[in-house]
Amino acid sequence: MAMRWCRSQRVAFLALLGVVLGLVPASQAGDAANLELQKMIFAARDRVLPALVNISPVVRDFSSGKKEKSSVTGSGVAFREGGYVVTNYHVAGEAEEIVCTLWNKERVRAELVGGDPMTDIAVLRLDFSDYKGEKPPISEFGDSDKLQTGQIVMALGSPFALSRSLSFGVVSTTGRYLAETFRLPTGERSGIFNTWIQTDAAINPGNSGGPLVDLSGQIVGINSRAFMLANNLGFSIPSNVVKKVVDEIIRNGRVERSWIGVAVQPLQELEDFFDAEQGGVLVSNVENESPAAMAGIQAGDLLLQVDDATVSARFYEEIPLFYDHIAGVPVGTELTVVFQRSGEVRTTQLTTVQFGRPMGNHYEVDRWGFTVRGITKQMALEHRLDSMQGVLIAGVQGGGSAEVAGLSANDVLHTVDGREIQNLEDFKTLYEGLDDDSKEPIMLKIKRRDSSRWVLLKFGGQKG
Amino acid sequence: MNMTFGRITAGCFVVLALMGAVVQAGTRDIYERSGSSVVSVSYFVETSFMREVREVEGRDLGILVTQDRIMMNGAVVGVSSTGSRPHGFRVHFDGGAIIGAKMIGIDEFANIAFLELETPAPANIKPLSFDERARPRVGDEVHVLGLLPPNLDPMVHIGTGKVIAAVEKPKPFLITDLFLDDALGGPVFNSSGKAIGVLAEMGGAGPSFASGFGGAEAGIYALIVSSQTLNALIADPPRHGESRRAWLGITLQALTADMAQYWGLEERSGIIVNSVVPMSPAERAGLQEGDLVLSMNGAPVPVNQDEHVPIFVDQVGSSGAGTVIEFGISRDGQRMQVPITLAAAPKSRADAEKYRSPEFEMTVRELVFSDYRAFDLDPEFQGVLISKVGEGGWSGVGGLRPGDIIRRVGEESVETPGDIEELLGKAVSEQSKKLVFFVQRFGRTQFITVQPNWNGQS
Repeated sequence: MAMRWCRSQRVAFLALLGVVLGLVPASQAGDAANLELQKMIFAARDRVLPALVNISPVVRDFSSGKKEKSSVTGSGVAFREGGYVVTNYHVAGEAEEIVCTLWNKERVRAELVGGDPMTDIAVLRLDFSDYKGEKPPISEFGDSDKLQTGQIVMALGSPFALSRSLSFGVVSTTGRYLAETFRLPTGERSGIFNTWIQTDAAINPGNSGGPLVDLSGQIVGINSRAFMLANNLGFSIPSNVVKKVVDEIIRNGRVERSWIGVAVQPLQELEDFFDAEQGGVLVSNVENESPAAMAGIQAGDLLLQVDDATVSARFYEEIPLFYDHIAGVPVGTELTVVFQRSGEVRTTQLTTVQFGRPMGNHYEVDRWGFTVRGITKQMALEHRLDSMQGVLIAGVQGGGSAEVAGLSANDVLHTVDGREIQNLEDFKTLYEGLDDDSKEPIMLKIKRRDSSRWVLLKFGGQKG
Repeated sequence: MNMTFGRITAGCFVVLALMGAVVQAGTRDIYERSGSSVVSVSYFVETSFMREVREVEGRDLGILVTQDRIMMNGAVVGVSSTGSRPHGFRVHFDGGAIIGAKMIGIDEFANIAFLELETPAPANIKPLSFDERARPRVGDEVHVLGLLPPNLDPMVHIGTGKVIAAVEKPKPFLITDLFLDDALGGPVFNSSGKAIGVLAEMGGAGPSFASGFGGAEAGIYALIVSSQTLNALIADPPRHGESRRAWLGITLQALTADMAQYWGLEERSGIIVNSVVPMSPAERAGLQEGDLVLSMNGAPVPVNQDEHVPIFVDQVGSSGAGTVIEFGISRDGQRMQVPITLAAAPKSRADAEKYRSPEFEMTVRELVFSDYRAFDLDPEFQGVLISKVGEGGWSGVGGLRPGDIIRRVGEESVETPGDIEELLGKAVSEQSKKLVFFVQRFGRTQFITVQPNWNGQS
């Protein structure tokens, strides 16, 4: 029922477009315009479709307290000679094995080159060593800054695993700010460093990682998200963001970012309260012991200049630009920051530090019935932990000895039988050094909120 | 053998026949004699439904215990999900009399609340008294008076059941199969018509009491709060704002037998100190995280599973502020005795000072001890917590949310609800066009602009 409605609406929309494009008010003129548009769509399709890739990675999930594998489907597009394919981080960024299906229905394996959860981009490389067929051509990136609201675009990919599907629509808006509440299935918050292209070209699960193309057949975005239960509210990562990120992934396997520890908010209604005649970026929060805190920056300060660049964020949509500007300077750069406090202009120096990986690696603690994750700086900030010491409990197996003993996800493990755990490597070394067959109980000391707790793991003797 | 058996059977028969006669008379008797001391109490209470706060009317059972006091179950008239207390109490008596009432307090241990009537109850209605001498045993028949739906008159019904268990740990309690529905807080009588207690939910006896007991969770079984407990409270009812709970200032978990064995202790029970609250009696006495508390005033701490932690909590809590307790602890294998002078429990959320601004459709309250724990605030942190915001009001539209902690309004620091009252009062009298709130949300700060529209105010 819903399908049919969408379809008839699309037909009506095409007819309407014909009327708008037509200069002479006659049905033949409409037909001619339609024909012209149809030709352009075919031409654009032919430039991208052969580069389109259906991606079936095997992904891991640790949230149940053990490592579980599942096969998912996403999309991607070849963009560089050598078999490089761009897709979403949430499709293949943590994949174990990747099988890709090309436009000619042939299958090839691929390996993960690297990924960036903060922009939700991953790069794969197709492995042609056993492949005798025709290699896919590459598609070009367009300039997403030139996109206009209303511009015709197409989304290509594998919605619900239906490969080689094309949907059609327009750019609903450029520069959509999506607040920081979006979380990837892998747990990371994504999207604070960029705005998004919103489109009504249908984007369904499985379209993730596929290209959004304009009528010239250039990639203007990578389709990543859609509001479920909405009508055609899809979001693409702008190609200019993608271009930068894929280059860095191919060079380094990951994206390195600088961090100074400030959160900012739009000035808008606060301009007169802060005497922000020359604009500026309003600091809303400063993390303890961050470079900004050590440089004396406080909430309420108005940042005016970072080195030679004038900075300003009056609206939400401008905030990702500021964060990206800071993130983009090499880690360890000394920045001169000019800011205004209570009407007085001041200058301070600070040295950026690594933003670091948003989340740490997983590890399955199979004998004890839980999974852990290394703690990164960003995780410590998010969970409001005092330090990065220990490992985070990622999941606890239902009915296992750890669950029975009272361990829960998000507890932070600090000691095992009195031995302190500094980080994941430490924990792995300790755990792997223990006797596999020992039935001796193990005492864990954990932190839950700001309290410690002791958890005694017991292992099945005859008593069970 | 046969002879003896026959004689016993015959004897039992006689006794049963006698009991049967007493029970029959008792049920009618209880209903007729005590039915009118059971009253219906109506009140208004806030509830939150999908983030929207609404006021709804509640109606529950009360018992007239003196000519001007009503006793109720504390759970039904406790603090609502929005953090506010019910109000507008009206007590409906048999015969149609309605008298307004005020809640005077809830006892935290027995979970029993008391209301004071604005004028004494009608003279023909006798307060119920509880008999402490009757000691019900497992298997005894018991009766409870409950409330019928409001459209029925008279409003009281009687139910019959049995005492099915007499529990010793974590607290001594009688368990009954009396039907709880409509009889929560209702008086329980023995077969000779003496009031022996009131009916309470299994979970109402303290944290995690009877958890894992299927019948209790399904509401099939109920507790009887004893006459001894009730009479002590009736004689000296609890008052709001004066907590009787004594306070140590630790978070804790049970020391299980396995853990005790792991640490090589002789004892098989106790508690583990999980954290020590800054500036608390425990901290002043030098208690540390990881200490194992094995004895209190020389007696072992009988806690070996987390479900029994309330035994320790209640033992300390009911000791009274100012009491000195000598704790026997083990720290890194060293034994020591630590005397600790208990303090009065810190103010609870329900007793926190509040202020509501009708213009800004916002209610704030002072930060109390438990907030400092919940929001992980430093002891010297100052601010005022937003407890309620009208979504379509100026504050809600501006972006303030319940749970935000206001630290400044404009340039002024905020420490008490009185500060907010003063600052918003000034904004009202000056008809300010814009207020900038500096708030903390999920541990991070931000500025929020609230722009009143004085023209649109109805």
